Amino acid sequence: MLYRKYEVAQTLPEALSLLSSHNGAVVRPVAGGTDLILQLHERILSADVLVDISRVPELRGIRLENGQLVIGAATTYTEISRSDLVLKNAFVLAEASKKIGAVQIQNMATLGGNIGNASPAADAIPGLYALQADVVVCGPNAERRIPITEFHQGYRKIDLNPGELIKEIRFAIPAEGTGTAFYKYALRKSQAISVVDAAVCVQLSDGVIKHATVALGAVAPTIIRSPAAESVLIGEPPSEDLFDRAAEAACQDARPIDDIRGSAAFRKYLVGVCTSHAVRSACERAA
Amino acid sequence: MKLRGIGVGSMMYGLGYGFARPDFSTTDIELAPDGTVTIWNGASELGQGLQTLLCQLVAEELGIPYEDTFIITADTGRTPDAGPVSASRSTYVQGNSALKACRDLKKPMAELAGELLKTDPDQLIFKKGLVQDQNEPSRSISFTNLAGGMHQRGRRVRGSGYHSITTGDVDKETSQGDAYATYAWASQLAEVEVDTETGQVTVLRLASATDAGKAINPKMVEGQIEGGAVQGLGFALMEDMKIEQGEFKNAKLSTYLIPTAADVPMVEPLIVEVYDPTGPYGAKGVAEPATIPTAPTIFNAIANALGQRVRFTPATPEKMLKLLGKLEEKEEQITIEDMPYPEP
Ligand SMILES: Cc1cc2nc3c(=O)[nH]c(=O)nc-3n(C[C@H](O)[C@H](O)[C@H](O)COP(=O)(O)OP(=O)(O)OC[C@H]3O[C@@H](n4cnc5c(N)ncnc54)[C@H](O)[C@@H]3O)c2cc1C
Repeated sequence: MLYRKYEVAQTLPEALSLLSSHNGAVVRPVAGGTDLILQLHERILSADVLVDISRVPELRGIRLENGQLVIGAATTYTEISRSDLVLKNAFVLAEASKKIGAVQIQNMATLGGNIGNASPAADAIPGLYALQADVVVCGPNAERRIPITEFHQGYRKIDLNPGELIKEIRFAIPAEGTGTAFYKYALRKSQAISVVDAAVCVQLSDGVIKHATVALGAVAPTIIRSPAAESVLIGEPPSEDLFDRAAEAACQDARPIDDIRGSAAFRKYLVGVCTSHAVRSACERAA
Repeated sequence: MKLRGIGVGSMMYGLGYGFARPDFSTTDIELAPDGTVTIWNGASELGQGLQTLLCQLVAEELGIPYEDTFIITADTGRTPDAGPVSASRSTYVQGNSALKACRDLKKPMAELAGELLKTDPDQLIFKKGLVQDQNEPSRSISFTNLAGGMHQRGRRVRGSGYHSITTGDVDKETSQGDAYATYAWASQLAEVEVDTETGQVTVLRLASATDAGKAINPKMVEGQIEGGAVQGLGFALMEDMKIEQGEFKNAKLSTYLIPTAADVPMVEPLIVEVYDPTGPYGAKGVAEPATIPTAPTIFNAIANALGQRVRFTPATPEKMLKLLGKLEEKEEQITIEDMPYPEP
């Protein structure tokens, strides 16, 4: 048995109370189940009770609120990649959503699940780092709002207490003249975990990069920002030479390891490839 | 930079086990009073269409509709030994034994038909649901009526066919000789694109011409050819067993990668039919012949694109980047040229 009980929550208060009402039992929230069920099968994790949050209305959907884009934790990648609000304001997330698994996974899997699973190779998180998003967490008594860079504390370690849920993601709509991009490098064209990926936001003003964020995936215990690449970019006009220099700088910030998908040296090389592609696309979209 | 190249790969393949190894099959069939036929054969249906094929052969040989055949395979309690499904031998060996079972059953059927039609049993043919005198077509009886008559009179309604392609061995001293019962040929042509920045190789299109002898079921042969190309593509570019101290480190479909639909190009299956007198209706196996040339084809295309040869499978991006000088080469790659020849 993977679990003893499967509860389907209909509202957020019900979900929160189901999460804390099973004394002594291991209770886990499940959204699309595309990470959790596999981990239960492989006995990496165990659970007594699963609380299905995928239908909770308060956790679903994408909306604009006071200049901020809000994406519910249980929103699927298919919904994200088709959302006009996302396509217009945070293209990087739509681009990443299309690269996650394949259509079947995109129909089931959620943004909150990607954040909760906290894999260093998670494809939706680099975009959220680049957009400087916050994670909104809710518990039985209160809500907390944490920058995503702090929410992910270490390898698969997140700032979430028992009984709490990831409610939504929030970030300020990028300023006029901003372009965003995601570049994923994997070992086949679909259904493949990233070997390295990069997400970039750049804001152009008078032909010069005014603001830049560069996030890298699968090269450290968590997703990371690359301050070196960002400072190379800021204040410069986009050029092939600049993209190369940003790529080189990003390589210095990456701390990849050897694993089954590639050696550290391979990954280090790919950081350059991914960064230059993502920066180039973001600049093209900003212009 | 993206470089394109075209490559050709060809192969010759000995069907079955060869080298004096036992290579046989038995099929049983039984005629029911309503004219339907049940086939028993020990081979396993792996999705390749073996059951369809054996039913087609039996229907053709007995001149009855495909729908009137039933088949039971791979049941050790009920089916006669047909040998394994391997070495691309199923159509060739198991198919032949099914035809022989039909011919065995046709003997008592022709005898009774000869009695009823007052004609020479040797002149009777089984065609379009009739058993008919080939010289005097008006003398005929329907297969169904004849089946009923067989049962009413208590005649033999079961047939058995044994077929062996066990060959002689080659000369022990010189290794010369004709090792296999028959041979198949295949050639493929592919165009690839090598991205010299990312090391990724994309197969843009592939054509595969495979000698089927005679395509008993052309759609299934096309399926074998397309599937063979996909498997060969995986062998060429992806399938990479990582073994440390005897332990298979990537024994999962998430880490041991095979091509997805998105990785597969247009595959053009070209069925070549060169009648093989030793095969059932001239047919022979297409399974391995359709997959063997793919990796050499892709590797020749890579060489054509780069002017440089890849000497290892799979040509993963990491290894390609080493070949392209973008990544430092750590372990020594043994090239074919360096490999010591075995002592003669
Ligand atoms: C075939 C396949 C291909 C995949 N390809 C990719 C890929 O290309 N890129 C990629 O990044 N990932 C990939 N994944 C992994 C997975 O699909 C994603 O990480 C997905 O976002 C997980 O979402 P989910 O809703 O299915 O999460 P679930 O499995 O439901 O949950 C994951 C974890 O998060 C917790 N959780 C879920 N929702 C919440 C919440 N609201 N609050 C608190 N905790 C929560 C769960 O308890 C669990 O621990 C793939 C998975 C499969 C099976």
